[in-house]
Amino acid sequence: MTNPNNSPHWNEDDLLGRIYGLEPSGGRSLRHFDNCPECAQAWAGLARRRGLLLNAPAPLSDDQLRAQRQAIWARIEQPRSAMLWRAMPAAAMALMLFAGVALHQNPAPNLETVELAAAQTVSDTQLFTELASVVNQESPRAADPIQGLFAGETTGDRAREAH
Amino acid sequence: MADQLVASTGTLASASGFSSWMLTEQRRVFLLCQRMLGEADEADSATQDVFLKAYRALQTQAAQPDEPAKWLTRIAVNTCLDRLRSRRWQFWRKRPKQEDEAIILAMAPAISPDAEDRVFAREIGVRIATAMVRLSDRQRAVFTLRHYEDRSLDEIAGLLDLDVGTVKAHMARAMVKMREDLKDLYAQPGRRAVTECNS
Repeated sequence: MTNPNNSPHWNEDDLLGRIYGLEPSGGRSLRHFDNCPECAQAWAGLARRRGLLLNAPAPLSDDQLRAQRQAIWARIEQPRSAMLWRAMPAAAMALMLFAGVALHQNPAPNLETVELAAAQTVSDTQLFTELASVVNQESPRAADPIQGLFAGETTGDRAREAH
Repeated sequence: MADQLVASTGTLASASGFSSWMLTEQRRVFLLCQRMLGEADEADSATQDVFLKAYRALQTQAAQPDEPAKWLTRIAVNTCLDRLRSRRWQFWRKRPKQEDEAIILAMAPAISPDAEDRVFAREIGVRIATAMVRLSDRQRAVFTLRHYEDRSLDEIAGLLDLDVGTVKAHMARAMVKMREDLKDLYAQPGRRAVTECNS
């Protein structure tokens, strides 16, 4: 049994390939058609059928084409302002996107942080108030006896200085 | 022919010149879009886009293109490729709608006046349109330009900005995928198997 790939004859795939501009496989030559009436006939039949296919008119209604031309001219003559209006949704979307990005980059302060800061402010104020009241009060305090010791010493020093 | 018409009607940038040119090219562009996209509605919209792009480009260009027909084909192919790329995200569009299939059926070229051939051609048209769904965007563009427009591989390479070798590779891969449908298309009744050929 002979391998079809070694045959000089053109098989269906090669003939089909030639129709579509491709080279045949297995080094088959175009000159083979000169010597092989069967391959030449097959090629001629294929080429004829190809020609019929190409030349056959494709039915397409004139009304359809006319409507299409009208639509094309309508789009060509469409005023620019209408095109701007058509671009509005895209512009709105871009604006929303921009706003989203801006908000993402400057996030709103965390609620816990605000509460903590407020609590810290209150406690600091309270502390200073309490300290001020302690310093300014005139009633006896726990440190008074100690201050009394130094007060006596201070009076003695002044008397010595007077002498 | 279209280019000659343009020469006779004046510049393409003028409304009358463009109108005449559109009249001659519209059917071809629509069919190209229809074959690449497979859906009549989308092909209609794509065709409008093509002529709109062409008109606007002609208004801004200093000189009109040397080969307007080829230039328009390039716009059409790129428009269709863009639409095919964006279609990848539309996973719900797996197959053409029922009414589009009917239009594809109607568009299948009739081989001869014979009714049997017409039916056969319609079947082939639908099978090819269905098989083309399996092709990649580039393969589909190459196959459409070759099969329906009968353009040479060199010309296709120029239209798609590809090397001829790349175009051949796309064509070969497309043919591997579509072989069964293409065999039906060109099948020769009575053709003997190659191994039986005795010459």
